[in-house]
Amino acid sequence: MFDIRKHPLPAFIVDDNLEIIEKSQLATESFSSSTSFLQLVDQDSRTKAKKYLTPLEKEVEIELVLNTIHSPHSLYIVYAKWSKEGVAQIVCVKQDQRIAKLAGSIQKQRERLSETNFDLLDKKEELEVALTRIKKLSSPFLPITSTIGVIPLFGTLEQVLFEVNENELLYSLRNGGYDHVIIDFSGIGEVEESGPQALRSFCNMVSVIGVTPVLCGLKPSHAFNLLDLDFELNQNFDIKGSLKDAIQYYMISPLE
Amino acid sequence: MTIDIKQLTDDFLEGDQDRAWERIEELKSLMENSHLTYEVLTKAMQRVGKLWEENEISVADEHLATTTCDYVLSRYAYSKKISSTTTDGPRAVFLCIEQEQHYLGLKMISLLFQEYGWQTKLFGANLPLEHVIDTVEKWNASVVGISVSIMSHVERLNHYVTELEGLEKTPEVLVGGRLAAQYDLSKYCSKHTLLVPDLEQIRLWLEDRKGGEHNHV
Ligand code: B12
Repeated sequence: MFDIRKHPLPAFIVDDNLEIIEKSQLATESFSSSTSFLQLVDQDSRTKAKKYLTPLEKEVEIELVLNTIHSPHSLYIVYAKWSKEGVAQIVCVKQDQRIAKLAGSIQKQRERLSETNFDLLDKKEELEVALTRIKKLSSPFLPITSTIGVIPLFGTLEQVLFEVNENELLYSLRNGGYDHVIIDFSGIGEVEESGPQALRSFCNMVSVIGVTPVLCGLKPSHAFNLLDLDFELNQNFDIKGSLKDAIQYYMISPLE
Repeated sequence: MTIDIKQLTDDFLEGDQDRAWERIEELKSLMENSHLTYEVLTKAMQRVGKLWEENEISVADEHLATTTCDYVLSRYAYSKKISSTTTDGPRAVFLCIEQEQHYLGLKMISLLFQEYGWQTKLFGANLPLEHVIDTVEKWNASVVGISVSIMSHVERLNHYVTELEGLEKTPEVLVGGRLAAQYDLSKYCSKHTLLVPDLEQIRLWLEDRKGGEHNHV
């Protein structure tokens, strides 16, 4: 029979009560001398040890925390193999610190990643807020006389432009007793696909509250885009005319 | 609707950050009550421990579960905008006892304090006591929270408590963590030390302080 004392790892021969019958040189060096294997097992690993280190489990491999001479908590993989006579060979392999180290670095990396992720999310939100603010500034309402107001539009004609401003604009219009609101296009560059439709529904809402919308300052390309949607315009004033002309026109003949 | 701890544990063990996060995010009660969320995360991590005892998983799996849980915790704090940005709240320092790597619980407690308007500093494992004392003094912390999970570390607790409670401007020392929940640690503490067995106790303490402060102002 082979000699357990020369085993290259901490190894034990135990009986079915886990009493130590014999052990390897390395087992003597690594663990305090004890008559029971269970004594070497950390308190919070003992239930696990008792459950799996029995002849009922003929061959097992389990992780256990053991008290070594150098450390009160050391993680080991413990292999046990039982013979028919109710005697087991137990071999303990110390779990490399490398796993712990690796896990540590993964943890650090993950922390950094999640921080940057969250930072990016943060920046995105900030940008969105800034964008909304810009949009809000892009269609202010200017009361010119007690009956005429102007909405100069800036930037791109698109749905959001109306979405973010609609409520406030309608509110000012409703509470002011205006007859006409002149929507000035001279600050508009591009027309997005969503723009004309949104403009039309805005104009409809303006009409519903009893104010007549008037368009001015359209460039030929704008007009073309709006025509596509067969936008109905009930105005005598030329949509290509300037804001100044439009104001003058409606101040002189307010009933048009 | 309630959360399935078993499924959450599985997500942790699979490292599925997104699924784990979704499970929390979709429950209004959890999004509104951080202490409930921390309890859920605690239960899931304890279940991880149980699976290890049943030989279903290894410590390597526990590492993955830990980082996943940690991610969910950070994301939760982020989405609820919990942070230590106030400049006028009372100050608390949180630390693990030297060599102690079980920091998840401490992180939760620190977040909870932040939510109650405290300024906090959270120190992880392996911080020498001298450094802690230095910070407590310079920063003028009125509370120091210590976490202990591992039995052999508890021997050092007494030294921590004595040193901290001996400072000129004595901070209040709170002791929590797995061991405080399972054992009576009073022999390692003084009669001024507050032993906190669980999250609910510290929440009540915070509620109490909140009320108290209002009365004084
Ligand atoms: C996950 C885990 C790990 C993770 C670390 C997790 C982390 N970063 O936090 C890793 C894998 C790194 C790890 C490593 C080790 N672990 Co470990 N680990 C666990 C496990 C499974 C769960 C712990 C956990 O996260 N719980 C969830 C947290 C949130 O709960 P909590 O800490 O109790 O916190 C709550 C309260 O206590 C309170 N609280 C906490 N701190 C404070 C502080 C204050 C001031 C207040 C007011 C409240 C408070 O707040 C929380 C709210 O719910 C436990 C098993 C178990 N049942 O606990 C083993 C366990 C704790 N680990 C153990 C061991 C032995 C180790 C190792 C030594 C060996 C090993 N297994 O590799 C190493 C080395 C660690 C070291 N040097 O510190 C043993 C301890 C045995 C003992 N005799 O003490 C346990 C019990 C497992 C076991 N059965 O053997 N572990």
